[in-house]
Amino acid sequence: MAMNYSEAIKDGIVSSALYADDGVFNEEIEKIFTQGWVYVAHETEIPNVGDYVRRNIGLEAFVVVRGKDKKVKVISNRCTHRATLLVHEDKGNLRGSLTCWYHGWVFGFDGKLLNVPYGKGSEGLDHKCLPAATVEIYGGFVFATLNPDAIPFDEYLGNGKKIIDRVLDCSPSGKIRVDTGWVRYETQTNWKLQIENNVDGYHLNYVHASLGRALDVRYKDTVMVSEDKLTTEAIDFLGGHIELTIGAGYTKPLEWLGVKEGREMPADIKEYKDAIEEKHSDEVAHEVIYAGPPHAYIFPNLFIAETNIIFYQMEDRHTNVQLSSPILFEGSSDKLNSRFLRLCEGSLGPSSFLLPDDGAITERQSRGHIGRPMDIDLRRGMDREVVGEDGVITSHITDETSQRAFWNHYKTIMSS
Amino acid sequence: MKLSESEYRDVTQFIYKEARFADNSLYSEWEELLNDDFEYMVPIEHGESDPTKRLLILFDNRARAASRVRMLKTGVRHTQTPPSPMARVISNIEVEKIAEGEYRVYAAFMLGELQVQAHPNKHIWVGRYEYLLKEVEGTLGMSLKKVFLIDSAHKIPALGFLI
Ligand code: FES
Ligand SMILES: [Fe+2]
Repeated sequence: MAMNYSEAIKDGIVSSALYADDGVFNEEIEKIFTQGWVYVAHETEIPNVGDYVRRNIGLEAFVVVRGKDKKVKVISNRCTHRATLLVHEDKGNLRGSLTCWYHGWVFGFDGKLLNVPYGKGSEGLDHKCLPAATVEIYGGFVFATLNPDAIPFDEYLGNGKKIIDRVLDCSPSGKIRVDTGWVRYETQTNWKLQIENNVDGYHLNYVHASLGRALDVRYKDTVMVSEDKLTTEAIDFLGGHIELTIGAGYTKPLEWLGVKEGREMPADIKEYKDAIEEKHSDEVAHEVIYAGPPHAYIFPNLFIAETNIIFYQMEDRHTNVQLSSPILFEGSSDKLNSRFLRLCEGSLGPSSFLLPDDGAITERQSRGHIGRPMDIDLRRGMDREVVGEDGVITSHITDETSQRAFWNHYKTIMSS
Repeated sequence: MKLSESEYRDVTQFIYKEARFADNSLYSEWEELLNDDFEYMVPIEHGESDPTKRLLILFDNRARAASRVRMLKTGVRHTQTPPSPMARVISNIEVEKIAEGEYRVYAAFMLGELQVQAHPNKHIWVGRYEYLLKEVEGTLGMSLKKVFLIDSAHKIPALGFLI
């Protein structure tokens, strides 16, 4: 039975069937991941001509490759002869072309069919080139869509641009790198649970209780104090893009980089601070030095987790893989950049101090979805939201404004 | 350097003991085996790869290992609440004596884990270990444990326990 999305998502209540139904999942793959724009890679993963990474769009296999014209292409990884994968490794370099190891069809980096062995038998047949996705890049972040009539990229990215701009502001060179490898953490959960969790400002005290009890962490003052002491906010940027302004809770310079009060600032961080002050106006420099990079989600599959990137590749309704990698600053010292590596290992991935606890809780939540559909109550803070002139909605960081932001946009897309 | 029979026995006994403490989530006992220069690594890449330039799945220095253990001991580290029942088999042990009281050890392992934190699920971890053991004030301790998972570059489930 087809899902009635306007009934299933209403007034801050969503039906648990939206996470647990295979029909819904298939419809998401089509409407969100095939018809819409998705994040596929960061440009710096493929610096040289022929460099590639394998990525899925929805469930389908694609290759993100640097073409001979130096431009990034996103082409199908399925041979147009009989669907065999053209590249089977996660990353590498292709010399000149893609050759299928089944019968030897050869394709260019733009997907063009260049050669078919024993060509006589193919005479008169319209063998196909590899389908290519439409590609747009913003700040090095590569987005793609399989829909020739998709909404314009600028309209899709919307306020997400400001989020990416703020990431780039944090780099003294204005450029970032995401090229140190990916950790892949699998959870038995519906992908939407991971998104709801990543933008959830309400769970820190409980899910991350062990961190709070065992460590003196930077999150403590910004998200782990009493309700009226919290100055941080949840923001619905519209278009499904969401932010938690965790950084706004930091009161000392470069806390987000682990600088502790009363301790001397390490030389590489001091150097970084100077470079930021040199580069930016006082206002922007202050924002970078105190708040740091954002904690924000860009619809539908990219999450900027402060100094890290996460993106999601789902395998089926209840299997989700989060890939995480740190954001490094192009041109900054190795010493500074290695801090981001260690921060990433410490907070994201299956053995980190944060994410596996989120994973355990959302896996329990996932189990709860089995059975008769129930109402998922996301109404918290509905009455204290502030709507700005531009329609952007702001509320207390613990409010489910962030989850509602996701679901409102989801509903628009899924009911279209 | 030449390795004596008794050194070989001490080293392998140490490795089995470390495995037993980890299997049984005996966190304090495990931590006592660590030297001050301890490093704990689960790399993604298996070749020569510089950790100051490449991301690892897990990379603890001694201080971070202490935090890891402290978190596990709170009883609310959900990814290991309750701790997974586990058993690992360690084999193909090779011991290299690199200095007096200093040993590099290579081994293969298989570890069965019953994940009991959400929906019970059995998972088999397979890989190779590399250890650096050093005697400090007459007591053998662990200065390095490097875990090369066969699937480190692929998706893996939660790794909240001591592997
Ligand atoms: S399937 Fe690729 S050449 Fe035949
Ligand atoms: Fe969390």
